[in-house]
Amino acid sequence: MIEIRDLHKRFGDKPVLGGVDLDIPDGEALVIAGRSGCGKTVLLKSIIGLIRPDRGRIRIDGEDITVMGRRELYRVRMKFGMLFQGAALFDSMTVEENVGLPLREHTRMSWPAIRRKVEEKLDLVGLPGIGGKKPAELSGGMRKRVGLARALMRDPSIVLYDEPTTGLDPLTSVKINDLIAEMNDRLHITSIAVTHDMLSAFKIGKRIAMLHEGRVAFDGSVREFRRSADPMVRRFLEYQRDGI
Amino acid sequence: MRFPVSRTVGGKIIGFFRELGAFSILLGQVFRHTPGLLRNRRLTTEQMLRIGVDSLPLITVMSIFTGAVAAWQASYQFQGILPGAATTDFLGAAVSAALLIELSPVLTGIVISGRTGASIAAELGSMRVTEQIDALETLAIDPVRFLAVPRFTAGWFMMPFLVIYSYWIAHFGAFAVAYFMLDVSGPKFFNSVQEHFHLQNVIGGLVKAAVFGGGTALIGCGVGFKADGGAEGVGKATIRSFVLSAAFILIADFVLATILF
Ligand SMILES: Nc1ncnc2c1ncn2[C@@H]1O[C@H](COP(=O)(O)OP(=O)(O)OP(=O)(O)O)[C@@H](O)[C@H]1O
Ligand SMILES: [Mg+2]
Repeated sequence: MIEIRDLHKRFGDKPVLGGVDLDIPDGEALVIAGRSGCGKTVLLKSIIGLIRPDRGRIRIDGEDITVMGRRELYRVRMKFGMLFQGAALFDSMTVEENVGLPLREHTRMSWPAIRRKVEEKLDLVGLPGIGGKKPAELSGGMRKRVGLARALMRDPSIVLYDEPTTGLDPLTSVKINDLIAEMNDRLHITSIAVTHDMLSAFKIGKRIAMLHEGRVAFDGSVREFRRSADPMVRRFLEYQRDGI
Repeated sequence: MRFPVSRTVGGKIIGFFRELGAFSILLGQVFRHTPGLLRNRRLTTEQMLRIGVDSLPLITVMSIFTGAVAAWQASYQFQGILPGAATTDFLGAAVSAALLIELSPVLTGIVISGRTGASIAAELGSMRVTEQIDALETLAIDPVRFLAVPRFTAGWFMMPFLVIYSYWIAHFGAFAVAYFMLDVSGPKFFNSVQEHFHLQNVIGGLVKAAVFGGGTALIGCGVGFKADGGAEGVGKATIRSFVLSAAFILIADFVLATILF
């Protein structure tokens, strides 16, 4: 269970989040939508403790992470996996080393055993046999999928996806959406996804929260979202249809 | 805008102390993680190799010519101060001592800050702006332990070796000048080196080396971690790291000289 209360964050004199309230129960499939630059990534990074809010509380399973020290924060982060908008692969390492790093650092598993698990996860994201490549040799979409494999490596109970399908071709997008939806359905992994892509949002989300001017301006089921008469939601959906 | 000069100078001074504070904090964090070094040994040996491989060619060239110019200058300055023959009697000793306690540590340090320090800043800076450091954080891997400790350790550990190497190589340059241009025989040159060789100088030179190496690596890490603003920010971090570590080396050299000698 993730509880966000009255979250504020500004950079310099630019307010980004101005009082976000959001509850995310276990097993939820939440999509965070909103215009570019409205603070979706900032919200996601706050949830995992990468950004310290100026004000407000974030509780993960009852523990307030905004007041935590490094060590405690790391313990809580073991529950999480995060896929970054730009994949954020370590470019000095091979794909295999990237994906295997969490296990190499946090378990006593042998490298061959880790490699087997790496191969399993790469299979899952549809990229078998690329373990020996360097991130620079991959396309943007492939990098994203490797990033996803790395995020899933420790079998997290909460996964944060920052634009999981941008930069992917439609076919791969469908596959990744299916994968995210399936992990939520079958393994009850809480998924929180930021996306611009409404097709993807409707596929992976059961609930949509829309950020607007630093606050949650809409929060409801996908059905409610599509039928909403709220002019702000309508405008957003229309922009989306026009491909903005 | 009324006192722009004093304001910028004042701002710089405050900035300087803030920076000093930030580096001290980083140093503290690095020390706290150093006991776990064994776990990082693979990462640390990688960095040690990198420092060696990166800098050896430049250090070699630098050292040969430093030795050569030191010999030439020493002989020039002795003229008129020392009576005729003594000029060549003391040449080896003078050059060797200057190399050991001053020239090799400082110049190797400057080479390292341009080569290794700047490349650390560029590497960690680009990891920062492409969110790789954030990614480490989300994987509950401490970037200080994972990135800074191996680089810092490799820095202070490898520098003394590089300085010894530079010191040796510089003697070739010095001897070549002495032999071919100043007419000093081999035995005369090397006896003089040997007679005035003091262990205290060796220790002093190596302490300097370790401080310069550790400081340069730490500055590279600190500047890299703080980089922002995309590729341009990475470029700025690289230059900043070089400027700061070169200044650090020159200041630390003076402070250490007053303590050690
Ligand atoms: N580290 C930072 N320093 C300064 N400003 C920042 C920082 N991170 C984010 N911002 C600002 O906060 C605002 C929100 O950024 P954020 O990355 O959350 O947008 P976003 O909703 O994810 O947009 P997009 O859909 O384009 O990714 C932007 O205006 C950005 O300039
Ligand atoms: Mg974003």
